[in-house]
Amino acid sequence: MTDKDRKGEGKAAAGDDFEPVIVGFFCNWCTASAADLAGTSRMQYPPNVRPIRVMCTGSVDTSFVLRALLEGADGVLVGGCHPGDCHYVTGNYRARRRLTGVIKILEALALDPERFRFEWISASEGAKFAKVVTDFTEDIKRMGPSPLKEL
Amino acid sequence: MATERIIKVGRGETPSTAALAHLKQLLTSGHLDGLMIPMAMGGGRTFMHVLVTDPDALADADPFAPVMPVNGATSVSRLTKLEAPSGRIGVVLRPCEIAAAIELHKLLQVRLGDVVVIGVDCPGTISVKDHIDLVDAGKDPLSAVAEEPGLLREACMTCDWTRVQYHDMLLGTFGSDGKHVIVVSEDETLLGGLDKAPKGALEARESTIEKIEDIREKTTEAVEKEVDEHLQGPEGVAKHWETCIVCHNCMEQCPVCYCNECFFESQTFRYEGDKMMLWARNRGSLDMPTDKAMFHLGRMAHMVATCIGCGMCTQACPVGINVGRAFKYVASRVQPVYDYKAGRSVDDPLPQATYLEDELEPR
Repeated sequence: MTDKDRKGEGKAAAGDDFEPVIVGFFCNWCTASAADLAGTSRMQYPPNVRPIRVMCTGSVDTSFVLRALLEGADGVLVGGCHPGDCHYVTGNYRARRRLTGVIKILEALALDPERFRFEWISASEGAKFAKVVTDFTEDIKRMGPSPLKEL
Repeated sequence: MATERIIKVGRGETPSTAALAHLKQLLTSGHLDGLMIPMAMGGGRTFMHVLVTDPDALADADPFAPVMPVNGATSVSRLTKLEAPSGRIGVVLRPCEIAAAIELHKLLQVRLGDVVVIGVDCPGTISVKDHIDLVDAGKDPLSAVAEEPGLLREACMTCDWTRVQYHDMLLGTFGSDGKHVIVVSEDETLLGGLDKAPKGALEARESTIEKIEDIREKTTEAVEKEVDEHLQGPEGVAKHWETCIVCHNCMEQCPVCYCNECFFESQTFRYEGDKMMLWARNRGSLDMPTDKAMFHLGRMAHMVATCIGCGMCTQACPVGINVGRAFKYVASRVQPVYDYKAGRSVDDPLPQATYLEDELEPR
């Protein structure tokens, strides 16, 4: 992608031609595989997510989410293993504690908390992955470009 | 079982000098080997903690000094983290300093059990700058505050720590009209030679605490209302921090920001020139120094669950941004989610260090 292509990305006003940029932090052991499954099963979902594979949602620092939002993402989606299924036993529980804190900060300062979503998507839930991405993309499209990137 | 005793404030004495005489006695008698206590600097322009071993060096000390240039918990961390000193060291701390020390204890940055915490009743402090200005203008800071309570720092006027929540020895001045100092401790060696507290003294302190709590709660509500109106949304947040010079001093002076190297000072935030040019092109402009919002919101995300609301960040800001107001507001909304109140108790586990299987969302 050149500078020129990047320019204006996610910058258009809300409306039909607004294509949001969504940063996804997906757990290697579940959601990343679910994304593969959705693809190999030829399920359709919007191409707006820029996936970043992480070894565990427990490794997603709160500042990653904030930085994505401040640096141009219109939404951030974190996908991890269902409770009890964490490959590292407790990573997802810890992530839930930590990332809830981010949501509360965004809520407290009215910084569009809906732009951040946290979902449990197991490796077998390709259909859920496609649905979550579709729903989230539609929600973000409705909300329009994020004002947080101007901060 | 805690025992209550009393130090009478004699003629020509103040609660400060009376309490100091008792502390000096503890040092002289060897019940304490050292004492970390606020000490007058520059002829009383400000007070800083000093680690005293010579009783005669206590002349300029004041356990109730109405100014807090550095949160004492930072110094307790310096004193005890690497290796706690041998011997019994008394540390005179106000409740917000104790709150910070409690958090740092849980973060393994302070060994609370290795010092004798001498908690003091605190009616609030004046910012260092105001304190210095008052003294330089020939005024007595304490009487200035009595005349104009608005001189107190906002963090003090909205303080959550009216009641000393943890101590090995308490020096209580609330409800005494300056006539005595209540001393409470479970350790008899710290009470040597003091008279039993008369009836009513403790009750008077208790009712004064409740009154002060009430006033502080009301002030907190008023401040929160202002935040509700002004510090909301991207514009509100940008406006609050618009004069920030990104010096990171709020982080440096934050007692619970203990990381040896702050993530926000790491190489992560050093970029090649072309990268900055790319951002500048995308946005049309790029604020320099970069990452102002990232620093404040990111730092908030890192430590707001342990923020004890001492307001050192506000005092440390060279351009007068009320950093603490924003942090305290957010902290009071984040911490309850974990059923947590930073600084309340050494027994409450750190919210990030624990979890429940059945809590929060998503489930």
